[in-house]
This record gives sequence, structure tokens and C-alpha cells, in this order.
Amino acid sequence: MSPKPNRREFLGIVGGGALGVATSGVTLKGLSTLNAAIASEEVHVPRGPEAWSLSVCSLCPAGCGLRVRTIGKRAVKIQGNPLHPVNRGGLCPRGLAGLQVLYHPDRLRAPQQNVGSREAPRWKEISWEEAMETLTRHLRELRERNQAHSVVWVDGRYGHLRHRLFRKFFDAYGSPNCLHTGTGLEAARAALYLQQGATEGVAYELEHTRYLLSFSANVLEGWGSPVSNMRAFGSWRDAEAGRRTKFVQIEPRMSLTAARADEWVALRPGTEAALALGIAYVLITEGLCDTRFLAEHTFGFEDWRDASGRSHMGFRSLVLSEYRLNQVAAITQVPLETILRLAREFAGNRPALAIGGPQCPTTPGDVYGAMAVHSLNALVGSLEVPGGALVRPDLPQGSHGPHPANTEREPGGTNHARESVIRVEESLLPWPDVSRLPQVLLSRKPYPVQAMLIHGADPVFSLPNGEEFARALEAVPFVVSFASFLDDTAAHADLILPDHTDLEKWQESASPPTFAFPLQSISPPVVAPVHQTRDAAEVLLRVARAMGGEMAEALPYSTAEEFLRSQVAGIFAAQTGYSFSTSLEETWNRMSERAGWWAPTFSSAQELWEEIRLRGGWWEPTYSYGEWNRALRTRSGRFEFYSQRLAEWTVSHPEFVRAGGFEPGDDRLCLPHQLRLPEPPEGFPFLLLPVEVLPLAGGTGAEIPYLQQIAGPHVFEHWESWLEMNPETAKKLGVEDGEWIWVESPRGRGRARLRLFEGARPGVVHLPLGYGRTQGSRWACRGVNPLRLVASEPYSPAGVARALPTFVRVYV
Amino acid sequence: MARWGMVIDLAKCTACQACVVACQAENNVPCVEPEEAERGRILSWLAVVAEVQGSYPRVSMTTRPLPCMHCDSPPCIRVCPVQATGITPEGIVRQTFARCIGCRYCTNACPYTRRMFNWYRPEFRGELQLALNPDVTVRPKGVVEKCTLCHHRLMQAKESVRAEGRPLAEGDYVPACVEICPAGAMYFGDLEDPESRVAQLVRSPRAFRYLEELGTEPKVIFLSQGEWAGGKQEPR
Amino acid sequence: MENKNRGRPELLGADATLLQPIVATRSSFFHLALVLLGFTSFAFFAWLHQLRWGLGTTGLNVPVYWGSYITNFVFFIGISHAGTLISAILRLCHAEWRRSITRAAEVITVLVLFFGVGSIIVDLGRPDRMLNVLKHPNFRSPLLWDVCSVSTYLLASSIYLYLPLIPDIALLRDYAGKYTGFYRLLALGWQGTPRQWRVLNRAISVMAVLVIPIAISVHTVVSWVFGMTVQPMWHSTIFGPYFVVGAIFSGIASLIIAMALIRRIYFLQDYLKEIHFRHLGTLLLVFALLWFYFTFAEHLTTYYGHDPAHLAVFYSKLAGRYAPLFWGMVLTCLVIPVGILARRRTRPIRSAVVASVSVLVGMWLERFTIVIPTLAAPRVPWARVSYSPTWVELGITLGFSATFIFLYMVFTKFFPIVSIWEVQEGREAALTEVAERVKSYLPGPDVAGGAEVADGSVPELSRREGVG
Repeated sequence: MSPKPNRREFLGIVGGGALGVATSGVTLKGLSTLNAAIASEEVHVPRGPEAWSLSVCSLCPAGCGLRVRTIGKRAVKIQGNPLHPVNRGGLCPRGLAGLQVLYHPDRLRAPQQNVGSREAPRWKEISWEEAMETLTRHLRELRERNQAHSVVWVDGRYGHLRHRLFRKFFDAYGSPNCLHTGTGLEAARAALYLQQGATEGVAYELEHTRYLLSFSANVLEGWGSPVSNMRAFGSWRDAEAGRRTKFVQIEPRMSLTAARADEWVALRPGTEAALALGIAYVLITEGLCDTRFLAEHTFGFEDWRDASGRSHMGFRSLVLSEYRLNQVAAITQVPLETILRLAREFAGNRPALAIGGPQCPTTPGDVYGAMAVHSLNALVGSLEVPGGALVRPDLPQGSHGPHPANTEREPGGTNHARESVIRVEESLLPWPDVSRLPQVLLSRKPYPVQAMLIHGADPVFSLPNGEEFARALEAVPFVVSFASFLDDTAAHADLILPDHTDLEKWQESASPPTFAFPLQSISPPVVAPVHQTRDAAEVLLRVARAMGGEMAEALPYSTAEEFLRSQVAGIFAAQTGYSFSTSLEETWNRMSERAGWWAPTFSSAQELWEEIRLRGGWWEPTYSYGEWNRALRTRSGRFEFYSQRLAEWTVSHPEFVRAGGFEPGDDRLCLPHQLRLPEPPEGFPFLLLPVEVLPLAGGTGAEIPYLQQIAGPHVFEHWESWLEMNPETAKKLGVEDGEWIWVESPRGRGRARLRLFEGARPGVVHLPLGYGRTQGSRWACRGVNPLRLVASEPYSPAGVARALPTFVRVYV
Repeated sequence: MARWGMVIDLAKCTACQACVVACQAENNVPCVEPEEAERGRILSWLAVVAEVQGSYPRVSMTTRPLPCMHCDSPPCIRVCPVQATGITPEGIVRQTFARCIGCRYCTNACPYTRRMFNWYRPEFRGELQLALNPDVTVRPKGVVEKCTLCHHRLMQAKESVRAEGRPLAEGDYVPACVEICPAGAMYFGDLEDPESRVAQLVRSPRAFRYLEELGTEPKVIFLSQGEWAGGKQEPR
Repeated sequence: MENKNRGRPELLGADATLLQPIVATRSSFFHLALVLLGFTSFAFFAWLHQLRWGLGTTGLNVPVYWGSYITNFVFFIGISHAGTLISAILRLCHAEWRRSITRAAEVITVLVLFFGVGSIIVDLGRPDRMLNVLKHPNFRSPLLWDVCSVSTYLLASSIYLYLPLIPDIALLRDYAGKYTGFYRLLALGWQGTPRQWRVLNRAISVMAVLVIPIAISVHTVVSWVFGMTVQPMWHSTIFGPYFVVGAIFSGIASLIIAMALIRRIYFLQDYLKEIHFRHLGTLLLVFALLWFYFTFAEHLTTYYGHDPAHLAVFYSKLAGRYAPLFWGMVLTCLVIPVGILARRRTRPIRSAVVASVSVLVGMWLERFTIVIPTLAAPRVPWARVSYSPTWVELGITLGFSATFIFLYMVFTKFFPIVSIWEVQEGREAALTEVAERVKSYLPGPDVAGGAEVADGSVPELSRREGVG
């Protein structure tokens, strides 16, 4: 272009430009093509024959029944199975999101072998033949070298029968190390064990309770069985005027549960035990206790003398001397009148129920706290009554082993050549604590672990000591993962054998935590596998077949279906229970059973199998209240305010006694009491409490877009970790809503978006659990994992790694 | 002629958002990418909206599932320049995706912010496309979409009762959100039929309509929380 | 006569300067034109990008469904009031100083309307279905009222621009010496016969009367797009007149800027004199105060109403997220123009231009702070998402402005931007007419023909015969 264009040049330039645009396809004609292109972008969904089939959700321990709509070979909608006693047709958002697990674009599509190193894995897709060959070879070699016991199976799935199959496999193989990561309700279970001696599931009949005092139990956000809790909640609010159940949520933060409760009592974090004991103080001093129950069924309420004549402090003395109202009000920062009122209401509205401890294992909540809360139930006689605290019976014995979460082994009761790698004898509670694995692996004691098989669990991500777990995995020569996604743990494996997702396999599940009735649901696959995946159960069955000998004899099933059928035969043999039915039929069955009639709709194992396939499962809808020899199995045969198991254990574990700040022999060690509250260290002024939100309950589900979108409705947050902070605190810090902000603890730091929330306690900050994966799906690796910031207890008597109260600083 | 309406009992709602996901799955509503979500482009025909009041520890929070209110006097319909939205004889506020020009006037006129716009072509990544419901059109980019009260279910219900030779009964036609609610907090039915559950609930003293003062006459009716009134306190 | 005079604009005497831009073009024109067309093609590219990927390429979101495109729409339609309305009012009032500025104003109107309409089209999610507005019109929708009133306005103001152009086109046909065929076609055989003059003057008067209500209706209807919803701070009865005042306000400002540029570039100091700027400046001052009065009334009413939904918007404007924009608007629409224009000016042109630029910026901000804060604070609690325009929106906005300027420039290359015949008429006939008119205002017996003077058309007709 000349510096001074004249008209001709100008027209030349403009014309040339226009021509250029035209040739690049952007003319009027181009525009109309563009429009056509826009129109052709429309998505057309293929039609096909419609069908409905049943399945079971396994995204949380509850195992709700599903009803899945299929169009041709595609599953297009998940709904609730209206016959399933846990959810009765309702579902939580997690259950609905199962389709996005099934059809997730980032699922592992075939077995993967790590051809790089553990530090820098490189994944190579291999055939199933090759994968099976590798697995079988390793397991066979170990067994031939007499190292079978050094194989560890870590399970995070909640299925019951499938877990039985795994147990059978490892029993036959020769390993005692069939471990389960637990459901998160361990503190409550520990209280049940220590105070009632029961090892079965802790159960609450929420539906029939008149007054629910929840100590930080996120009842509506993933605690126990979310959907059945919601059903109970709905039925409370349906009650006619004056009959409405009062639901009091005691919690430092206004969670969604607290917001939906009839009353929210804000207390200082970690002082649930003190508040429970303060309520006990009022009950005792005002004479509101169930004295008959106390006299007949409890131990350690009054001061007592042991066989040697030594006098011991009872619950009553402890409470009266150390948990007077003004003291408790000072510790908990709950107004005195509130405590008084709660106690009177609790005693005045029976059946009243106190439940305690968040399900999420990381929030401060402890065995003593759970004991204090459970003691309230004993004080008002709410044990073994309708609407009270129950002990769920196990599935009929004879054909069934204990519930997976109840994998207790009586000390010394192992029938294996070698003891379990996590020695239960050493722990207070009769179930192994998976979070102790890193310690065991690194110390190579009692013996080095040669192989670890991880199924449905992601301990590297979900344990407070996950980093340690990852380091410890380096010490294991052969690590196999059955993950469906490349998760944080699978990234440390040598071999990944991707498992089917729920809708692709024979599904089954047992009673959810806190559910009072034995139950077993079973459903066939809904759709054909989307990818080259295999059911882990069938993988083990194949291995057993390949290894032959006693292993093949122990597991003579060629498919998961065959195995499940054999188990159903066992259920039938127990001659009890019914197949799933409508609520009306359920009521009728209960009535007739109370009258002594058991009239099942099936008359043979085959018929039961068919009914289960048709209706989704089998259950025993009648609970026998007041079977004291089943519900109270302590040494005293009573409810123990003073736990004799604790007494016995503390004698042999002086280090625990001293860590708690007690002298050996202190009676308070065996009684519920408030633990000392830690002081914030210099420079870390805020207490960090990780919170569990329903969409990411249990810290899982971050890979599912449906759930990410609804993660934090109270702060309009999604897809990203957020830090909840009280606006007053933020004002003092000079930070604003929506800012990206660093949270730093002595252990590490992470960045999250600040969200001001009036429901957050001043001086306390919250991060949601479930964020901050480092591996896996495109959608999951976002945000901060609060577990990487919290300090974990090196050793926990509760049987789960409990995160310690952690203090952080916050800066922009 | 039926007049379809919904009752949402806020006393029973647990804010679990199962309805939100059920709606999204039933109606092929795409999940937008995180970056888009951050820019405020989440598509949700039904959202649970929280409102926090007060300051710690005297805080309260209401949570409210908000579908389209299916107003009898809908502000959105009046403003649409091309009649792409209208109200059916049975009271459902419909949207004709194929006619909408995407001017987004209706989205702005709706006082409940319950109309969504397709900022992009809907994206169902990889196999996620397999989960699409064939009964519901996937909306193209550039048009407004909204809750239809699962209109396709009404069509199916009508078809099946016609085959059975009987009139539509209560429960034959239920939208996905109502069907899934675990706490049973949502009810659906014919407001004209005095015997229907919804018609009975609407007469409750707890019944109110959201932003009633705007005169939009919603057919989604809420029942207020209510209070714990019962229980005696043990005398001293 | 035609052949003899063709290519000799100097025959027009003093007013030959007015044909100069058409006869000769300097290279700086092409430079500028290239730059402007650069913006145009960028806007075109941005629009294609938006068409390809969808409106997601803008900064819009839920609940801010409308953003800079709608702001531009209101702004451009507002500016369009520059011309027609101002020129029509001045014409009807026999404001003699109007003669050299009417054309410049009318062109703004017609050209800018395209960009107002264009803004709406660009804002559509499905522009391919645009014709649905005709196929399935819903006359209850204010947007459809807009379609009707804007298209009527476009038609009316085009006619209103074209009618007074005819005698000038005839001059061009006769004297310009280029594009003769084009001018001949457009001149519609204008020969300047008394009958033609009578018809033309009658037509201009009718159009002047017609165009005023249409113009007012256009901006009223634009305001009703907002006012007819129940949204906080949109649902206001004052919006009609408020928008009209704002429109005229920004119209005057853009007219002043256009005139100053024309004056400078085409050396028309003789035609666009300081007095024009003084008068327009005064008009701008009056409208600044009027605009402030409306703004104040609107906000005070909202505040006293104390409706929480309205107050949320109110506070977000006065003290919240939109406070910088809101107070920037007050500064640029009120403080700066009033500060400048209220003083006795030594350099009226410069101060009028500065005030006008400020007003244009301010009025864009005003439209923005009307559209966005309401949407960002819906009644239903909503996530705090902020809206800021993306490069696509900025590109299209800049491209629209640049294309408007370009088309305006092109217009000056084909038609005289100052109405030649009107100036001539003013010079030759108006002096006596005004003297007579003034006489008729004074005490004493009515001058013969006073009635006709008031009518306006008859004396002009008599004058016409002398011009030829």
C-alpha cells in the first residue's frame, strides 16, 4: 500500500479484502451454509424398545434399590425401586448420577499395566488374557513360596455377599488379610461395642422417634442411610399437629441438616461430649431418667466396687462433679437455658433418641463423645424400644458370615497359618483399622506384605494419612487395583483390572448402616459392559479356577450369578423373612409375624431367587425389641456406662492412657468424658473443619458432573473447593467473598475460593471433602483435599484414622 | 380439563437436590464444563435455591426447590415476540424450541429466573450421549429452554390410559422430580379436581405462592415450614 | 443547461464549498476509511465466531442474559434521535439557525438506526430464525412493538432525509460532474418548478410533523421493553419520557461531535459557526438538567419505595458493584457537561465537543447501568456472577461504531452534508420573512399575510420562484 492511497487503490484494497473474505467461504452463501451447519448440529437421540430393570446403587453404603429405564441397549434413567425397604422409590442425587458413572468418558476401558516405574507410571493397555495371566502367576508364585498370608485385600465396596466371596477366596488362598475400609460410622459402632458389647450394626429407628438429638451427625447429608433418613424426616413432618418429631441438630456449623432441623444449637467445635454430659447432668439432677431401666439394665451408673474391693467412680458421680451446667455452658458455649431446655424436652418426648458423631471420619468426634451421646439413650431408656437405639441382627447365621463392616475376629480366633497383618488383638475394637496399613507396610512387621489388591477403595485419597499410604505402597512388590477410574491409589499400582460399574454387573447389597433390619438385595446386570471391564468377583473366581486344587473346590462357581444363587439358597434355608413388598404388605407381614405367623410368598430356594429377581431382594421386616442377651453382650450383660472392655484395654496400653493426659487407673478413662481441646498454635489462628456435603458424601463422586453442579447450594458453589468463613472473620482479615485464598496448615497448603457464610462459626473455616484428587477423570482433579491439610491421629482406638483438630492460617 | 399443579412441602424438603438431578437426567439437560459453570452458565430447569438470614449463631436458611412456576399469568409469555412460549389448555407453560429466536426476553421477564438459555451447542461427552432420553428433544444452541413439567410423560400417560380405555387417574402422570423425592416433599396432580392430593394441600393454611405479590399466579404452591408445636416439657 | 454546467460547481457561487467534499477526495479519507473498515471486518469476524460457537462467546450468563448488545441497541436508537427529532422540531419552530445543521442530523438518524437494529440481530441466539418475528408475531410483546416502531421510524426518517435532499441532488446532477446518472435517478426529475416546490415543502412539513411522534414512540417503546416486565428498577412508569430525554440528550451530543468534525475536515467554518454550537450547547445543557431530573426522580422514588428487590438493584448501583459505572455516569452526564456548558464560553466549539463526548460516554454507561444491575440482582437469590463483555462483544461494538462513522463519511462523499438550498433560501428569503414574523409578534395591527407566515409554507413558496 502506498502511503497515500488514492481512490483506485482504496477500492482495490477493499475489493481485495471482500474477495478474500468471499473465497474463505464467508459470503452470503457462506452464511447460509453456516446456518445449515447450525441446524445440522442438532442432536438426534435414537429410539428403541423400552424396558425397566432393577439394580442396586453402590455409591454409598446404603445400597438403595434402583429401577433403571433402558432404551434398546442404553440405560437412560435411574429411578428408585418402590419396593426397596431402604428407599421406597426415592433416591438421593448420588443414586441418580449412576448413569454418569456408567457412561463416564474417562473410565478405564481395558486392563492397564504399568510399564514405567512406580514414581513415573506409564500405562499400557493390555488384554484381559494377559492381565489374568499376570495376576494368576503372581498369586500362584506367592502361594507356592508359602507367602500366601502376605497378600492383602483392601475393600471399599459395601456389598455383602460379594465380600463373602472375597473372604472365601482368601480363606482358601491362605491369607487372613481381607480388610475393609469401613463406613465412617466407626465412632458410634465403637460406643455400641464398648457400652453394649455388640459388634453388629448400630441401628436407629428414626422413623418412630419423637425427639431426635443429633450431635453433629449429618443426618440429611450422607450419615447412615441418607435416603431412609430423608424418608423418616418426611414422615416426621407429615405428622399431624402436636405429633411432629422434634429434630435438634447440635453442630458448630449450620449445615444443611442443621438448617432443616427444627432447632439448631451452635456449639464450640469438639465439645459434643461435654454437651451430652451436661444434658445428662440435668436429666440426673431433675430426676428425668428412666430409673427402672437404669436399675435393670445398666452398669456403672452409681459408684461401684470391684471384686478386689476397690471403689470406682460411676457415671453419676462423674457427671455431677465435673459436668455441672455452668461448667458445660462455659466449655460448649451453649447458653445454660438451652441445655436445660434440651434436657427437659429430651426426657419429656419419648421415645427420644440421641445420635452422635458425624459419619465422615475426619471431623473431630471421638469414641468418648459417642459414648457420652449413647449414654443419653440409656438414661432415658431408649435402648431396644420402638423409635430408639437398636442393634441390627446379622443376616441369618448358618449360611452367612458377618457383615463386611463387622469383620471382627475374636482375639486368637484366626484359623489361618499366620496372623493378620493388622493385629486386631492389639486394638481396642475387634475390627482392623486400614489406616494402620502404612505403618505395617513400612515397618515390615509382623511380616512384609508381598502383594496388595485394592478393590473399590482409594485410600491414598481418602485417608487422612493418604500420603503415607502412597509411600508405603512403594514397599509392596505387587499392587493390583480394580478401579474403574485411574484414581490416586490406582496410580501407584502395577496392574489395573477395571471393575464393572453398578449397572453392568450382578449387584447386591446388605442393610445400610443405622438400618434396623437384616436385608439382602440382589439384581442382575442392566446393560452389557460398556468397556473391556470385568466384575472383580468374577476375576477372582477365574483365578481360583486357574489355580485349581482346593481353591477351585472352595469356589466352585463360574459366575457371580452362580455364587449369589448359592447364597440365596442359604437365606432360604434360614426360613425367615420376606421378599421385598409394598409398605402395605410389609405392615401385614409384621402384624402376622407378631401374632406368630410367618407366611412367605416363596416355598423353595428357586422361588425365592425368582422373587428376589422380580422385586429386588429379601429382608426381615420384624425387629424383636428387648432381646437383651443379643443387645447387651458386655461382661456385665448390661449397658455399661463404665466400659469394662476399656478398663481391661487401658491396663495393657499405658501409652494411650498417658496420651490422653490420665494416670493409669483413672476411672474417667472408662467413662464417657470430654477430651481436652487443643489450643491453636502460634500463627495458625483458625480451626479447619472439613465438611461433608451430600453430593460428594464420603468424599467421593467428584468425577460426576451431575454431582459437581450441585455441590454447594448454600454458597452457590460448584466444581471447585470453597472455603467457608464467617463474614465477620473475613471482615477482620480484609478478604472478600469470591476471592481465591490460601489455606495453610503446618502440613500443607491449598487454594480455594472464599465463600462467606453466616452459618460458619467465627474463627472456624470449612473445606468440603471430596475435592483435590490428583489423578483420574478430567472433572475430579479440582480443588483442595482438606485431608492433605489435617493432621491425623497416629493411632486411634476408634478403629479408624481420625483427623485431629487442625489449625490453619488463611491469606490471599 | 385438568389444570396441572405442584405442591412442594418445605417442611419435608431436605434440600438433597435429587429432584435437580432427576430433572436433568430426564430432560437431557447438558452438564456444562466447569469453566462455563463458573461463568454462571449452568443449565438447570429446577434448582434448589438457598437463602441465608441472620448472623451467627442466630442464622436461618431456607432452601427451596424452584421449578418453573407454571404461572397462570406468566410474564414470560407476554413478552415473547414470536409466540415461542405459551400456555397449554392444561396450564403447562410450554416452550417451542424450534421457533425460539433466542432473544432472551422471556428469561429476563421471568421473576423467578427459571428460564435457561443454550449458550453453546449442548455437549454430551463421549459415552454420556448414550444416556439421552429419546422422549425429549435435545435443544440446539441459541434457544431458551425450561421446565415442561415432563410434558412427554403426560403424552405417554394419556396414550397408555387411552389404550386401557380409562380416564387419567392421579399418579398416572408425575414429573421426574416429584417421582424421585426421597422425603416425599413434592406432590403433583390436577388442581381442578377437588379430590386430588394437591387440591387438598393447596387449601392448607401453610400454602403460599412464591413472589405471590407479583400477580403471576404460580401453579407451583409451597407449604411453609411449620413449627414443632408438640411435646411437653417435663415440669421441674 | 445541464450539459453546459456539468463539472463546474463554482457556478454555484459561494456555496460551491459545500460540493467540494463530493468533487474531490483527499487521501486521508481513504486512510481513515481503511482503518474503519478494519474495525468493520474485525466485527464481522467476531460475529461469525459468535454464530459458529453460540452466544457463549459473550460474557453473558445466568441471570445477566442481556449485556452490551442490548446496551448498544438502546444507545444507538437513542442517538438516532439526534437527527430527525431535532431537525423536525427546529424546522417546525422556524429556528433559522437550523438550516446548516439539519442534514448532518438527519443522516445520523438514518444510519445509526441500522446499528440499533443490528445490535438486536447480533444479540439473537438464532438469527437464522429472525423472520419468525413476521411469521409468528406476538403483538403483546414490547419487542414486537419495537420491531414495528423502529421500522416505521427507519422508513419515516429515511423519507425525511430524502425529501430535502432532492433539490440538492438536482444541483449535483447539474453541477457535480460525476455520478450524473446516479443523481439523475435520485433527483426524480426535479426541475425546481413552483409546483414541485409546493409539493416538496408540503411533504417536508407533513413529514416533520409525523416524524416527531414516531421518534418519541420509538424510544418510549424501547423503554417499555424494560418497563413492561416486573423486574426491579425496570418496571417504572417514568421510563418512557426518561428514555426519550436521554435519547435526545445523546442525540444532541453526537450531532455536536459530527458537526465539529465536518466543520474541521471540510473547512465549513463559514456554515457551521460558533453560534450553532452555542445554541446546541445550550440545548445540551437543558437536556443534561432534564436528564438529571428524571434520574433523580427515578432513584428517589425507588429509595422511598423501599421494596427490597428494588433496593438491591438500587444499592448495587449506588454503592455496590456498579457504583463506579453509576457515579461515572453522573460525572459524565451531569457534572462535566453542566460544568462546562454553564460557564460563559470563550471557545464554544471545543467546550461543546468535550461536553458531548462526555455525554456520549455517560449515556452509554447510563444504558448499561439500567440493563445490567437489574438482571444481576434477581428476586430469587442467585450466585454472584459478574458480567463483563468479551472481545466478541467489544469487537462488535467497536465495529458498529466504526462502520457507522465510515458510512457517514461515505455519505458526505455523495451528498452535501449541509443543505445547500436551505442555506440559500435562508440567505435569500428568510431575512425578510423573519423580519415580518417578528413584526407580527409586536403590538400593532397585524401585517397582511401574518396567518400564512405562521403556517410557514406560503412565504417559502413565494421565495422559491426567485431561486430557479
